[in-house]
Amino acid sequence: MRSSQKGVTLLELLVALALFAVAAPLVANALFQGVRSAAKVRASIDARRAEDRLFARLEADLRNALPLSQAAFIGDADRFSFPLAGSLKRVTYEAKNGALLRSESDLKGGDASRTFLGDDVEKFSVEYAYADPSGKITFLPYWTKEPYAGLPRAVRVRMVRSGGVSESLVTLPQGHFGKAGE
Amino acid sequence: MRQRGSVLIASVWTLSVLFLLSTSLAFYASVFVRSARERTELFVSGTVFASSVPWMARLFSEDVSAVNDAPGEAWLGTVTVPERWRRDLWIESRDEESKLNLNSAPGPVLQELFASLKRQQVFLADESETARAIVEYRAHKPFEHLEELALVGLDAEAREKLKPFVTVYAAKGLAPRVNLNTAPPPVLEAMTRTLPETAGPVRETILSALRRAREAGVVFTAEDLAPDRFASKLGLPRNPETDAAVATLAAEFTTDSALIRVEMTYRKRRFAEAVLEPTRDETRVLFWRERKVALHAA
Repeated sequence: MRSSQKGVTLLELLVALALFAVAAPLVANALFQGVRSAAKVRASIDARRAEDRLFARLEADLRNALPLSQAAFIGDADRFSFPLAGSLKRVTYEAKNGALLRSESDLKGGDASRTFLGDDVEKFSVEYAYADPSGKITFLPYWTKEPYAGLPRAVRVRMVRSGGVSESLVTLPQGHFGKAGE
Repeated sequence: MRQRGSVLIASVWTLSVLFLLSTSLAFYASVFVRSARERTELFVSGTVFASSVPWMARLFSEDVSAVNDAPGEAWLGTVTVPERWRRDLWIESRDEESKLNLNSAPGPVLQELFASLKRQQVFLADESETARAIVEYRAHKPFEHLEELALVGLDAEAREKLKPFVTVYAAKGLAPRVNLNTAPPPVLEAMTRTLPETAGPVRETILSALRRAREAGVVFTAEDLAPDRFASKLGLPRNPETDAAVATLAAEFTTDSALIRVEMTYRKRRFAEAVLEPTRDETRVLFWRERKVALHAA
C-alpha cells in the first residue's frame, strides 16, 4: 500500500499511454489541419488585401485626375488614361495579355514607366457615366476626347479574375456627366 | 491517492487544449486586427476628405457677410473641425482671391511679386525669366491649374512656395480680382509698386497707407472701393496724381471671395487639397488632389 501511494502504477501508466496513443493522432491531425487552414486563410486575406490595394490605388488615381484641355481624359472599354494632379504625368490603366498594367508617361506621351499590378486578369472592362436629357444615368464603354469633354463624373471598373469578380464605382470630384442621346 | 496519475494526465490535457485554443484565438485576433487596420486606412483616406467638402461648403454658406470677406471668418484660416476629428485632423483654408491671378495679372506685376518674394528668400528662381515664361505660356492658352507651372520650368518646391501668392482659378462669370482684405503683403506690394509711372512717389505713399490699414485691422467693404471713398478711407492726401493711382488700384480689388483652397492634414501629414467654389446649390470642385492616409506610419 505504501508503494502505491507514492507513484504511478504500471496499470495507470499503460492506460495513460493507450489513451495518448488514441488521442495523439487525432490532436495532431486537428493541429495540422488548423495550421493548413490558417495558411490558406492568410493567403486568401493577402490576395484580398492586394486586390483592395490595387483598387484603392486605381480609385485614388482616378480622383486625382486633372481636367486639362491639352491632355484630355481618354476612356475606352478596356483602358483609360488621364493627366495626374501633382506630377502632371499621364497615367494609363490597361489590361494586356492577362496582366493589369499602370503606366506613367509625360504629357506628350514620351517614355512610359510601367508598373505591374496583377496577373490572371480574364476581363477588364470600364464604363463611364452619361446622363440623357431626362437626367437618367447610363454607363457607356467610352469617353469622348473630341471635342474636349473634361472628366467623367463616374467611372465603373470591373475586373474578372479566376478568384472572382471585383467591381468599383469611382466618383471623380471634378468630373461631370457625359451627354447621352445627342 | 490512486487518482494522482489521472490528475496529472487530465491537467496536461487541459493545458494543451487551452494552449491550442489560445493560439488559434490569437491568430484570429491578429488576422482581424490586420485587415481591420487596412480597411480603416482605406476608409479614412476615402471618406474624411470627401466629407470635409460639404463641411467647408456649409461653413462658407454660413458666412455672415455675403459680399465682404475678411480675415477672422469661420471658413478662413484654421478651420474648426467636428469634435470627433479634432485630435487628428487639421483643415486650413485660404481664399483664392487673396492671390494674384496668373492668367490676368500683367507681366510686370508678376515680376514684381517674384522679386519681392525673392527678397524674402521665399522664391529663388529668376523673377524676370519666370514672369516672361508665364506670359508666354498664357498667350498660347490660359492656365487651368497651378500644376501647369511645371511646364514653364518651376519644380514642385517652387510651386509649393508660390501657392499662397498666386492662383489660376476665377469664380464663374467674374473677372479675377484680388481681395484687399485677405491679400498677403507681397501681393499688395506688387500691385502698388507697378502702378503707372505717372504715379511716381505716390506709389510708396499708397503702399504704406495700405500697410497701416492692415496693421490696424481695417476691413474694407465693397462701397469703400469707390475711388474717392478708397482714398479717404486710406487717409491719402487728395491730388490728381493720387486720385488717378487710387482709381487704377481700386479697380483691381474686390472685397468678396468666392473660391477657397482647402488643405487637410491628418496626423501631421498633409494628405489632401482642393479648390472649391461653394454656391447656394452645389459645390464646384475646381481642383482635387489626395494622397493615401498612413494611419500607422512608423
